[in-house]
Amino acid sequence: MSELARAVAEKLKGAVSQQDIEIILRESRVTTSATVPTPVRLRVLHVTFSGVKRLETSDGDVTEEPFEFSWDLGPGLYVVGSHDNLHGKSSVLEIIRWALRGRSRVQPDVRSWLRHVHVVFQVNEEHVVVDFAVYDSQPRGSVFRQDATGSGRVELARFGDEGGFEQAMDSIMMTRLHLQPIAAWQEDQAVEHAWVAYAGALSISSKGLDQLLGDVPFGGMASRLLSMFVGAAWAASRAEATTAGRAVDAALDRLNQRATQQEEATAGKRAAVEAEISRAQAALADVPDGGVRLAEVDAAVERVTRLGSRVAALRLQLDALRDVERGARRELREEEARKHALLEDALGRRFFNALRPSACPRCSAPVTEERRAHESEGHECSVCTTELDLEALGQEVLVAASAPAPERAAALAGAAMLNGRSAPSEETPAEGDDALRRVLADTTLRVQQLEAQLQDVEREREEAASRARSGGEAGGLLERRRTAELALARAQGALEALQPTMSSADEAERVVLEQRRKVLKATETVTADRVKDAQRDVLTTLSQNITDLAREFGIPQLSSVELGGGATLKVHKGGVSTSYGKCTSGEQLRLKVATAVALLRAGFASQTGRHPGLLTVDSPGSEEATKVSLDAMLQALQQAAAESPDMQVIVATTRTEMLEELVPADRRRVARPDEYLW
Amino acid sequence: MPSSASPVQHAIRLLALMRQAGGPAGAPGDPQNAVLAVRSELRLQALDFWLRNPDYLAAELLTEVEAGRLDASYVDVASALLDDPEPSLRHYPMPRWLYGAYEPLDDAFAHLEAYGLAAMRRMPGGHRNQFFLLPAGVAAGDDLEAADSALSWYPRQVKLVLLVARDHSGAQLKARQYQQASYAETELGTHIGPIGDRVRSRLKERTAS
Repeated sequence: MSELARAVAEKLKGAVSQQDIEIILRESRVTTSATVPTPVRLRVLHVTFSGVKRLETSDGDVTEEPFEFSWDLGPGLYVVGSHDNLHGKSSVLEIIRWALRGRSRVQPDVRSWLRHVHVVFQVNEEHVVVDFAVYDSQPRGSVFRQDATGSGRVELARFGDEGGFEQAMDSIMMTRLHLQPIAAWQEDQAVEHAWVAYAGALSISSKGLDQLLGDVPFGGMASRLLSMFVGAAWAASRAEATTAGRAVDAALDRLNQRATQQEEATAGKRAAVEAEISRAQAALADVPDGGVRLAEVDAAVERVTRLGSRVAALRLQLDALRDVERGARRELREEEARKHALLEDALGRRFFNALRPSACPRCSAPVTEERRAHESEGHECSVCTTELDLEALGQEVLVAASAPAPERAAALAGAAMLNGRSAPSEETPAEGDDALRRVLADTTLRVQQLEAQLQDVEREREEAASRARSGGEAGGLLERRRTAELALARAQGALEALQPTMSSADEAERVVLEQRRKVLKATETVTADRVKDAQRDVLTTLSQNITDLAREFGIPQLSSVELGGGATLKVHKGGVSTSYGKCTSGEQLRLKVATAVALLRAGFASQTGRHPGLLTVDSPGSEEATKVSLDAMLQALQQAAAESPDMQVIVATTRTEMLEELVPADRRRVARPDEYLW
Repeated sequence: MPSSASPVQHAIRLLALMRQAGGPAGAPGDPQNAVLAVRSELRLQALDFWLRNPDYLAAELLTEVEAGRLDASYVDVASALLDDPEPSLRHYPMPRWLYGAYEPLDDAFAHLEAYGLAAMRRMPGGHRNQFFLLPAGVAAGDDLEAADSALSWYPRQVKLVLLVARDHSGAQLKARQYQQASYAETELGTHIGPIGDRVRSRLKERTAS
């Protein structure tokens, strides 16, 4: 558990657990420990550059003058000067700065003359060698590291343009100087201004006087730089917390936006669902109440089945009975036919017997009158003279007594049949066997009864079937009713489900984000307090130092300054309070130099600053300066430089005459009057 | 139905047939006093077939109507042949006839001969007999028709038979009869025999159309 997390938990009065705070801080990449800066020193050891000057004379001729400049430097104050301006002293500093930052402020014409630059920096114990050629004003080269002895040479980066150069120096220097990227928030996106910004703060020139610190004109940049250089331990954490907080805010905004959009979309859906509900209600109202009890329908269906089997059984019975009827009818017919044949035979016999036989068919013996008489009285056949059956004869049937019994019986029966009738009626016998007739009559009656019965049962079945069918329709109605009820329930359920809030997932996310925001805001506050606390003392001391120095540099009317944590400077002079920005450029230069020196000293003194110990100052004295104030500045700078072997201040000035007194020869490069430095 | 008629019934039929189907006698070799002659036994048998099988007669009637040789009113006659009791009472099928076997008529003919009504000339080779009706036979035949008796059905029926038979030979008549039988077999799947159902369906078709 980090101490910061504990402090934040305290701040939140236990609303969030320390564990959760720890997690949030880690996830938001907030440093939970005070970053104790380790002092890393930076110095220029050597600079060499060469090229070809191209000058146009007043005649229009172009002259080319190759040049080369080389300088070895050590700790302390170094001065490069020329009697006049534009004789190259600023370029020396600018070239060094170019090699340091990768970004160039070298004047374009100088840049076009340059061919090669070689600068060696000392970073702590290491040498960082920047070596590049200039093609078409673009830097192309590489960066090496090597030990102080010159061994262990390793290429660190290679670049082919200014962008690559910047990138290279950024990655190399930031880590080596243990510097943290300054997180800033620009247009809702976190942007890191790294080495360019830092290195910019190491130089002062007449350009860029608007900023008290550095030369990158971003709001809030100066305060970050200040806290970095002054050594506010918690400044990084504060910046990180603020940046992370802003990211959370943006996420929350997006979430809310989404919720609003969803609400609008839902509104549309709700309207649709409500329409669905009213539709379903209407459909339900439309369904007429069946009113038919299902039990009745069931009973009807069952009856249909039962009657169906009865019908089948009856039909079978009927078929069988009809068969019997047919059989009876056939038998009767046969009997009738038999009887008829008998009758015909009898009739035929009588017919023939009415004729007078003339001869024996067999032997042609004539039938005489005598024989005929015998026959009618004598009981002998007139043809064959066989004795006749008297009984039959009495019934006018001619049959021999010796005729076979069936013949005799048949003849008698036939005769009986004929005689049994009254005379006119010799019609075909319509009577048959009574028994057969009775059977037929019975069967026919039974058949008719069964047919009637079958018809009844079929009718009943049809009635039951139609009842079942209409009940089926009622069943269909029930079905419709159920369906309509279901549709209504479903639509109502859908309405309930449409809550005008965020989806649960979004809601959960929102809760998480809110908590995170709370923690980060608290962290911001906690760290800001700490930064402020730490800074307060330092700032007070610094303010004092700045005041003293600035007065020496030539602002005698300065009574005091107040350096704020945001790198603001309140200036009290001549009884009036103003700010740095409202001072004259001459005053600004002096104040800026005073601040820079004060920072240098403060950082080295307390060993808590991150100031690399390098400072370049270009042309103090170019701004309405009296000799005295310039001297004072130079002296002050020299003094500051002398306080620590790790500091290096390089000054470019036109004030050459006093330099000889102030700065030893090996520490100065001065061009003679009318001469160029290079 | 009874399998066969008695010889007396058979004799009655022969008398009725000969009286109306006979042609003039008097050819050389004919009996002296023969009046009518039936020179083809095949024809006699064929005519007798129609007399004994009202269903075949009805079928042939329908065919004659359909061919346009007989008036449409005979359709009712055909129908009556099937459904009225009289014809069916006198239905004496001749199953062997269609397979080529005659029904012997000797006993029946003897009746006619005994009463001096008819005479037969037998020809060698079987079944090429000729039949002659003598004057007593002609008279008896007339009596048969005039008599108000159940027997007079036969002379009436013979008229219908002759109407259908026209002047076809026995062979031709038999072919026609066989054709009816085979149609029925094809259509109804029945064996050669009664064709009443087929005729009924033909009648139904007629009434339907």
